Amino acid sequence: MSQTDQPAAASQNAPWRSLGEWQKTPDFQELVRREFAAAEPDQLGPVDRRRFLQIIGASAALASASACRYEKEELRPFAQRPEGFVPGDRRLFASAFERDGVALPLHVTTIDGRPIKVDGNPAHPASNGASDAQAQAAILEFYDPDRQRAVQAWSGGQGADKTWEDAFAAVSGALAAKKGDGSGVAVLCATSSSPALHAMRQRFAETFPNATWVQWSPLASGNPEAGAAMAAGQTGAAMRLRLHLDRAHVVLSLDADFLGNHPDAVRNRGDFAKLRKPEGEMSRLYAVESRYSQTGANADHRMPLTSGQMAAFLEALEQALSAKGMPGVAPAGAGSLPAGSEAFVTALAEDLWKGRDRAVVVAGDHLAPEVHARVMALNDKLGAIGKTISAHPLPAEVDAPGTAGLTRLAGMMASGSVQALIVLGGNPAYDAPGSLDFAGGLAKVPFKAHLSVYCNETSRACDWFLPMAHFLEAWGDARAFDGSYSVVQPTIEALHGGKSAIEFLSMVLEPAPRSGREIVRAAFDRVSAPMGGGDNLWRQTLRDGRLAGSETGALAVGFSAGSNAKMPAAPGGMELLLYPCPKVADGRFANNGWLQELPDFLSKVTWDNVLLVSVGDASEQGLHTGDLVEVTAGGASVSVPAYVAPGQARGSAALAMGYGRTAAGRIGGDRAQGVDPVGSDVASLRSADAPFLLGGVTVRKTGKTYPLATTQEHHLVEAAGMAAREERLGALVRTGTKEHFDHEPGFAKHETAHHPELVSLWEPHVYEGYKWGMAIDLSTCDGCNACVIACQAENNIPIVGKDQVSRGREMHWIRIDAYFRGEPENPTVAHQPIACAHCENAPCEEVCPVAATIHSDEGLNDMVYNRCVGTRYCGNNCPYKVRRFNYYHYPKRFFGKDPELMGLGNNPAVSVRSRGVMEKCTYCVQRIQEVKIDAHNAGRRIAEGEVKTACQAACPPQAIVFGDLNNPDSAVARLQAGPRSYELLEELNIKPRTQFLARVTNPNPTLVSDTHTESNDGHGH
Amino acid sequence: MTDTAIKGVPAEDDPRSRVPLAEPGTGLTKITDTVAGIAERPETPKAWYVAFTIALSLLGVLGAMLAYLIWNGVGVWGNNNPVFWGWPIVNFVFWVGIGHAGTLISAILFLTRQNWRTSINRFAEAMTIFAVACAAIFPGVHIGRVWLAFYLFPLPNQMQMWPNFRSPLLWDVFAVGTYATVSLLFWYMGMVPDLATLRDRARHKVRRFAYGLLSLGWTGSGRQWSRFEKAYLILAGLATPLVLSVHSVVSFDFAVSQLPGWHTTIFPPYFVAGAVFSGFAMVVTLMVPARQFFGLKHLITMNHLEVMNKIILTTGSMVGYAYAMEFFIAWYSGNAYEKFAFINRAFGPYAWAYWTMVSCNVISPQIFWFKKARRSIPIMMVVAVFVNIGMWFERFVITVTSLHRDFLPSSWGYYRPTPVDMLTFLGSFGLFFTLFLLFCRFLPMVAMAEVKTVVPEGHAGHGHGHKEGASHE
Repeated sequence: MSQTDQPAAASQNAPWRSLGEWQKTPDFQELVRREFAAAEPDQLGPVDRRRFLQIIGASAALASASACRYEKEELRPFAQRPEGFVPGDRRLFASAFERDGVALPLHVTTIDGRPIKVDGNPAHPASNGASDAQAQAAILEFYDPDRQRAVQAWSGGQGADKTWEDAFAAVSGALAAKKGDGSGVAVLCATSSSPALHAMRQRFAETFPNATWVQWSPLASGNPEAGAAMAAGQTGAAMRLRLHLDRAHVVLSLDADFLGNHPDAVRNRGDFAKLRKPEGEMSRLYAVESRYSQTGANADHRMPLTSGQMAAFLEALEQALSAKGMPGVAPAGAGSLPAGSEAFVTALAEDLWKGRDRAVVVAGDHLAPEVHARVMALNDKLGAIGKTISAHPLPAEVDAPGTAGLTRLAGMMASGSVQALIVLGGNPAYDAPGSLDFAGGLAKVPFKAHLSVYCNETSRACDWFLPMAHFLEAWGDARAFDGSYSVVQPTIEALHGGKSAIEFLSMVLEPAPRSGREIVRAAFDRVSAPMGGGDNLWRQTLRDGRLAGSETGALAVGFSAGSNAKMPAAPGGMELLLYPCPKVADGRFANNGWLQELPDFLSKVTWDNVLLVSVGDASEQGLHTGDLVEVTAGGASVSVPAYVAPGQARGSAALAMGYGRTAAGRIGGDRAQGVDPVGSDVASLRSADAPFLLGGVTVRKTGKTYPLATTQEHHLVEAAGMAAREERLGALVRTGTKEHFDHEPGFAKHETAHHPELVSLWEPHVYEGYKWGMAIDLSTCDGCNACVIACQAENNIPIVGKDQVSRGREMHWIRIDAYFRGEPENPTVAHQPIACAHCENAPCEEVCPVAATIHSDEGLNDMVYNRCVGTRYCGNNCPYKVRRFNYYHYPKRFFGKDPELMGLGNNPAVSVRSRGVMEKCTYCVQRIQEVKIDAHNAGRRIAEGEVKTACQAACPPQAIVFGDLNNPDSAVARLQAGPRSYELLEELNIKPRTQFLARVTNPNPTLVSDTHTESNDGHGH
Repeated sequence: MTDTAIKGVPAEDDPRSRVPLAEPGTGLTKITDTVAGIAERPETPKAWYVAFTIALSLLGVLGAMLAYLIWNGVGVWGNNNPVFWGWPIVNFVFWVGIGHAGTLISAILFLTRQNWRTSINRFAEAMTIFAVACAAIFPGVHIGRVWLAFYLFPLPNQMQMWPNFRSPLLWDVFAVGTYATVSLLFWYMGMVPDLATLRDRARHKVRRFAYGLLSLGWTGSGRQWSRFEKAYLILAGLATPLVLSVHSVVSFDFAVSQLPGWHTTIFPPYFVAGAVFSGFAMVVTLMVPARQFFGLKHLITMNHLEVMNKIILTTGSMVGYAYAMEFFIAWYSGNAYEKFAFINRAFGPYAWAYWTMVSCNVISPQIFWFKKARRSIPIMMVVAVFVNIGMWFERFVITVTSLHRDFLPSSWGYYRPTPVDMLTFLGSFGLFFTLFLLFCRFLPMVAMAEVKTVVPEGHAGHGHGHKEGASHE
């Protein structure tokens, strides 16, 4: 106030806002100078005790809250999303799955960088989009928690974790002294057709010129290759035989399982099915075989005959053909056939001769090369060469299959001349023929390392176990059966830091190790050089999954020299056929629960291998299914449960290889972890000379029984039940002959039970949008089981284990029923895949008290897992019994500690079901939704063929057709409207949306009275 | 009473007269003393302790089995695919069936003025309640996700999701729930006057308080009696259709499905007859030792037992007729699946169960055509136990043999129970007997007030009481 006298003239006209401003008091000036009003302590007032405690308390709470934070996640978001990458979207990678040197071209589906499904590559004729059970199960193998994750040094049966550096130091140390020489160094490599690996092999040979490199596959006999070469007069130059069943109208299989156990089976199944639709021309398949094979199951005429008698049969056939006018047949040998087979031989000869140029004879893998040579000569005379069967050079990368290489190596090992052995893949310590004593030889090798996906029997007998990258996580390449080149693409970073064989060899051999991609690219450049090579071709090859033009051409050679091949004598006594298991192969898939739990295509046995004994032999020796028997051959014996197999040839027994693993894992058996082996190991019975077919076998009853887990109890049904089954069969699997079909195409419609007019209690559903439906062709379904595993992989279906299967609690959403017909000595069999039929009047929907299973507006019978409380009433009321109940929390039943890894392989579009919930086939609703969203976004209807269910996609013969019934032009609508279509159990008025197309076979009219392919006219009423 | 006896016919068989419903000389005081005395006994008999220990142990087994079940999942039982329902449902139907006699005796016989019911109705009703309690366990725990059992009830929820009213299982929830509620009310309401008697006689404070609480302030005034009688009649009227409905609805669980062997229109009456059959057999099984042990022979006379045996014979024959009719229809309908279902029952893998059922249920009660057998304690005990076994097997045969082989031969299977199944069933008897022994010890086992109305002393001035009853005919 004292400064009021200060001149204010200059600002007389300036506006002012307060008296203070006008007077320019010091207080006001201070206020202006300061930016913010001062917080006067007295304005806040004293901090009282309460306030102080409040503040302290809040501070303490906030301070401690900073310790509460979300678990640190290692998510690395893309700062910029890569072009074309949509999170949660499916991405397909063309790749290939190599077994025994033959690649099955694949499409691998990944979601968010995780491979979750494999399917065949539709752009590749070796697959045509289809695949098989083993390929489908690759996903489970990839995420198997039992894959050893660390490099390990093994001694005395104990493994110690090491690093790759340790391992390379050890390997380099062992090999260093051998550089430039290599004697005493050996590599045993699982048979592979990989050009990249072949290049590494050549480099290895340069570094170690005197080293031994052996390829080994326990499944390939090498007989067809050798026999063909023999018939072509080129002994030593193995050649590969390819079948062209889509052109073969008369087919004779001599113990050959070209639809089942054949490297090119996926293609064969598809080709064969092309001539099995009765609407067009149908082929006729004759099968003469000892074991009921998948080929035999699809035959129009089948004759059980021991493998030892095949030569005699062939001679008899040649004589019969000679009588028809076929030239150049040598006089018959001494072999004789069972009585009653003359008619068969005569009719077959008639058919073959009439159909020459379009006929083919195929001999089984395990038959002697001489038989193959004679068969090739016969094919030559029938004019089949180049038409229905063609010979091709074996790819340069593949050694002639057989036991010769391994025998040589085993001899070297036994004599102590191998100082360093590197085993690339495989499991020779388990699967080498017992006569070679491979494990014994291995102990004499001072340094041995095993590169393997699993730490198996061989790894544990070696000094080093080196984790091998799975084919889904590493670069590689391989050739399909037709020789065409495919690149194996990785779909994910190696889960456990494994290395592929080529990467490993590069690190061992090359001063500057190259990545797998570089090695493969170099190999590609060499392979593709004739086609021009280059980056564009590389990219195209990656995308298409095949290098066009890389398949091997047919050899223009004659096979007449085979006519003079000297047939082997039949082995004396009872014979035993050791055949590759269609599920676990030679045991390499033994730790794959999907495959272990897959029912055998005929016996429906899971989780075991069984000795298939003929009905006659069984009754003679008093054997019953489930009796534990001791099989002795060549001094070795194996204890195994017997299975009385309908259709098995008298005097012949058969046993699958690939079981009895002792170091497979928690599924397949691991002695170290106290897990018993699954099934019995047959390696001790095998010898290098006779790895597949043994003579002079004795089968002795031990008096013990062994529990078998089957999914369809063939052998436990008494007479009354058998009669009822017989009575119903005609209506369940409607079967007719081609002749019958031509005469009366709608025959299947009449085989239904007589019933009154069907009246529904409910208003029919109305479908304005889509109306999904399925048709399954029983004429072309060959029972190969690919759909079962495809469904399991797509829909996150857990395995339940042997004890649960024997309780009838398997979870497969689709199952393949097998029904025998006729005499047990030689019945016919029909396969019928059954999944939820999505009935219009669904019995399950009516009875669910909580409305957990309901009809969708597209006709699906939806299962609402979250709503399901598990009364299981729906399961009771389902006439097809396709509903599956989670009696336990099955996904965690095995691998309790490692569910995370297993979970990575689950399809994220499908819920994993908890215990206590019912589940069943959904028609792959997630696939429908995915396509529907895309179509909706594009403002169009889903086009025909856009939605493929998992089973349909996997099916080689394309027996499963799915689509929109509201679209009259869709394949499924046309099939369901066709004459062969019928509803299973239509008398119940449930109106299933899955309809079956009647099974039509094409028997030879002159033989019909002798066989059982006739239409079963049993009416199910 | 008749003046002239018919020659050669004992007085109690004289059709012109009514048999006294309690032994002569059973005065009102004696009734009260006998019945109330059991509950008031200062020292619990040793035998009761022994029995109770056994029952309680079995109840413990039940608890352990249920805990094991809920912890592990339904897989601990023998159920499989195709036999999705096994012992739990068999046990459920078995216990519900047992629970039929009580309400039948109290309600239907009340409405039809069958006064002999008065000595046994309390006992039988208690048995009903306990049997229904045992039955209620099984559907509850047999579902896969027990913790979501409330989905079965029409509770309002945020999803606006109702249960499926087409499903017989839902009807079952309502039927059994209603039956249990009404039976419990009926039993308890009928007990109120007797509880008041116990209250009035109680010497200990705690007893007086407990019975006082339970007797709801009953004074026995005329107005109370009048309302009591009316309410009792109404409840009896309500309970009567339930006796028939509950097992009819339980039978719908089977009959409404389309499974051969289940899909049968005969099921509702057949199930009700079977339920009454098994219920009476269970009443006899329990009544005979109880009347012996608690000294109630003068109230629950041999005549009562004989009447019950007659009902057992009647219902047993009805059940036998139903078995025969099922076979006839299976043949007559011409339905191949139905035909096979029955051939399979009698001659298939479960033939042993079928013939056990037939022997126990149809053959064994036939002995009751003979009066001597009807009045023989050992024979009736044996038959009653046989019928209990047979009726359990009936449910087993219906449930399991129909399921194990249905339409597609490929999915046929075989069902074997596990030890958990067996112990759970055994444990349910533990629950039943625990409740039953508690009832025997602490509650009036015989409806004192009602019995008093049928003894001559209850009708002072009317001479011998049953002329009045006879005149109704």
